[in-house]
Amino acid sequence: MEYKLIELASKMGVDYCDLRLDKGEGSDLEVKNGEVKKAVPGKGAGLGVRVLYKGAWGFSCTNRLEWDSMKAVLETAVALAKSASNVVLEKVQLAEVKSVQDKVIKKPAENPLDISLETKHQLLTDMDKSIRDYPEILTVTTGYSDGVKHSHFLNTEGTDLEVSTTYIVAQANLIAKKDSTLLGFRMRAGGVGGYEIFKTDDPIEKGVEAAKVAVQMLDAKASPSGRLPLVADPELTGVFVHEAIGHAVEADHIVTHESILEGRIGEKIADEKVTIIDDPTIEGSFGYYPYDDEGIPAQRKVLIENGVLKNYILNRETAYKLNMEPNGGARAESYNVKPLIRMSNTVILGAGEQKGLEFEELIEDIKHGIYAKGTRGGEVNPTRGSFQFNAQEAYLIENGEVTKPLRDVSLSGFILETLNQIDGLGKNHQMGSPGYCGKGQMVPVGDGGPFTRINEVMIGGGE
Amino acid sequence: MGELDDELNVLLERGRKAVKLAVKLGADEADVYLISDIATSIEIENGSVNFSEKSTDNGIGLRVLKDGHVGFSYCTAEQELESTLKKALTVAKFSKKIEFNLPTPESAGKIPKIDKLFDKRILDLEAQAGLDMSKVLLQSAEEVHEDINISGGGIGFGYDITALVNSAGLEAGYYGTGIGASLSTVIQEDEDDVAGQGFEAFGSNMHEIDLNKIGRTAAELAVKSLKPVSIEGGELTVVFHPFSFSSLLEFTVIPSIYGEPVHKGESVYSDKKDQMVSAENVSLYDDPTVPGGIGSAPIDDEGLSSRRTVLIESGVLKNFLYDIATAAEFGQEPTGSGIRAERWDTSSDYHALPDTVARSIYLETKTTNFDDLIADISDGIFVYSIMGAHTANMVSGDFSVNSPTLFQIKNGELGKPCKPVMLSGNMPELMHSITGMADDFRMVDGDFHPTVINLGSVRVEKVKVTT
Repeated sequence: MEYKLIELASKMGVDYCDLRLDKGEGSDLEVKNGEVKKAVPGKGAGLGVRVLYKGAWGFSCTNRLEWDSMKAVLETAVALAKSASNVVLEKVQLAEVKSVQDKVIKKPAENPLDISLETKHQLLTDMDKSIRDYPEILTVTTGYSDGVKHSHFLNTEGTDLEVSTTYIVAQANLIAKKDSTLLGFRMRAGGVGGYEIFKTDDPIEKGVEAAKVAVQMLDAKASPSGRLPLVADPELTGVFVHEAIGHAVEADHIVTHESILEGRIGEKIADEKVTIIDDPTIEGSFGYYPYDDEGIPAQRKVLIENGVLKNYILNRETAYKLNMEPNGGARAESYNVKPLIRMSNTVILGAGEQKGLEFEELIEDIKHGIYAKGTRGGEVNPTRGSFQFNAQEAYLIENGEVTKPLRDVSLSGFILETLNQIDGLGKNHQMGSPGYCGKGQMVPVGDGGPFTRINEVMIGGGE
Repeated sequence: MGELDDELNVLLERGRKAVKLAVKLGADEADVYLISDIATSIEIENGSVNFSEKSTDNGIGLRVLKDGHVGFSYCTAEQELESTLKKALTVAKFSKKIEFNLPTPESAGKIPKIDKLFDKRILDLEAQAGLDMSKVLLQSAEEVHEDINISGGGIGFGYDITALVNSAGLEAGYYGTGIGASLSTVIQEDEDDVAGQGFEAFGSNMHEIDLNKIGRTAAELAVKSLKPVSIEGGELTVVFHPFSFSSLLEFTVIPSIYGEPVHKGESVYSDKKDQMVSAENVSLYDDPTVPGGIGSAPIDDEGLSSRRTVLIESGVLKNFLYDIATAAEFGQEPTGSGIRAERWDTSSDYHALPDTVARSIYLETKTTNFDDLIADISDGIFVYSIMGAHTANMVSGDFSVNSPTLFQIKNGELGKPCKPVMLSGNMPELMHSITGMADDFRMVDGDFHPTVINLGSVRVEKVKVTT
């Protein structure tokens, strides 16, 4: 039916039309302190249609997949685009791309849909037990979710893509308590693929590790505040790259003059040690996709190379406006929303065997600073160029040595200042835990980097 | 009224059928939650409309009880009802045993009639009306300054219908309309300086929004925030705009008053009932019955009547919030706080089981106009927006956030814009330092939860500011 629909669209005199027909199935479980809080198997399907007419977009969607509803959705999208085209001042145009026909059906070694809810429940129960072995752990909420998504993309330029991917995630939120001190901590394992992922990214092992650290952090003291040197672990470095650079190179912010990186391609904006990529092609990573939601092959994008700004993350519309090559950066959370410009796996590369530093070398000449690990997330304002993010675990560095644990360390700074303050990188990068990025829509992302030293960053602590 | 009654009846009929089928398939009890909504939106980018959308959503959430165990699943198509119910019954086999009963028409309480949740004028709006409205929005911002760039924003309107049917004989449903507009603006005067930035948003159930005011406010804020100055950190008196204070409440104080964490000793409020937990003239309510409230509705997502719950009264912690299951578990009365929303979701949906969620929080304290609120502040800041509230430690209430848009308060008056600062502290403790609120009252949607927070600008003493 979708072929009939795209054929109908091309007869309706529109400049461009694409459709996404998604079918998904998955499950969602939660166990709190040994008891099942929820176990939700679910299934859904729907169609989203996007139409471009004389420089204006119209979009509509439905989860009723009978022909009449599908046709009505197309007609609505056409009518919306036509009426919007009467008032559009800055006409949308799309950069040209080759049409593609392909089928990417990623069959995981162990399809989570073939695994019973009981087995998944058992996994959470095991995580729960091993975490609650620590008497200081007051509460554990473990969660599991998986999904298989089959997406069919068609457009009026002849692109025809069928993509099927699977993901699984297991996570735990812990609350540790000692006297009147309460502390929250979390971990997440998983990626794009099937149940086999847990063999290498073991949620039970990770859960126990999280419990150990949470217990340790109960004795943490409030962190000092002010401008201090910082060493970040790969996970926190990943969040730094995501928040501080990733969002500012999303081209939608560039074309609306909402990013301080507008007009700076070719300019040196970071220390020359810094090379940052966004790469959706890393198999198994949480930010993996083979084609973006405009039907463009996914590709590794070098955003900053040796300190020089090289590229933005683009969709077809912004690529046209900026006169750049489209690079497949459009992603939609689901069929019922339009694709937005999004990151995938954002990574700062290690400095390599020659120039990279060992952890000890990174901290050895810091007299008074912070070593921070993991994260509770962050946020950025690309217009003002400032960012904030939070470490989940932190320690004081005194005279070149990691000493006492610190609680609630939060970091903040200006993108352009901080990029030039990076004065030491480890040899290799590692990917952090799977993450979700919210920008009106939630999409899975990965990020990572090497151990990283920042000469000076604003630390907000409670001391 | 009347326009949507037919559609509501269709949902109720579908719900009755599903409940019957659930019982036939072996459920002891069942409740069926159905929603149907239509939304139209017009998006603005770079001073021009360029995208318009009309979307519909409908689905069914099916909860079954079997031997005291709960099962749940959902679907969108009616033909999948039977297989979905079977899945829900399978799940019930290993899920937690809960001692509770679904509400009957009597135990659900008298459903309040709430005015101003529905406006036929919104129902009749076509996309063209949205296009016309966006012109007004754009013009009003452009008139403020010739260099203003309207980076984004738009208009959205629509309606939603909710129905709930259970095997205890309860049948309830309602519909409401909504309209909202937002605008973001940027202005760059000097290449070397940071851009000025403005934002404004407003939502209503009634077709009563002042587009001119939204456009003008967004543009004026951008102009005002140009050429920020550096300030000294320290412990300062901070006046939080409703946008920023509501975010801090959302991720700290509010989830700490939910029954489950409180009774399990996981909340800072666990042993604080009847004790002072804020300044003595501060009160906090959950009240989804207020006419015209964007967080108001006659029932919760389990079919219980909406009611006002006093959480903090004159500084004293009075009550906590409960859905049906947690109320039963801890021997309390439910507060009509059972809401079905997935993590990060800001509205109810059929994918999720009910859980305790604050619905429409009101903060009250000594209130004056804004000028009087700041009149005796010799050296402080007015924090318009913050980033990173979601990274606060939800358990302890400790936070450390960045404010990108803020202004000096000097000798009792609003002064120059400031460069970003960090604010940190502990929210439950800062509740004791609230010294007043301005009458610039707003209904603010939650960032990541279906909770509306109603408040004015809040003055707090001795907040730690790092620069």
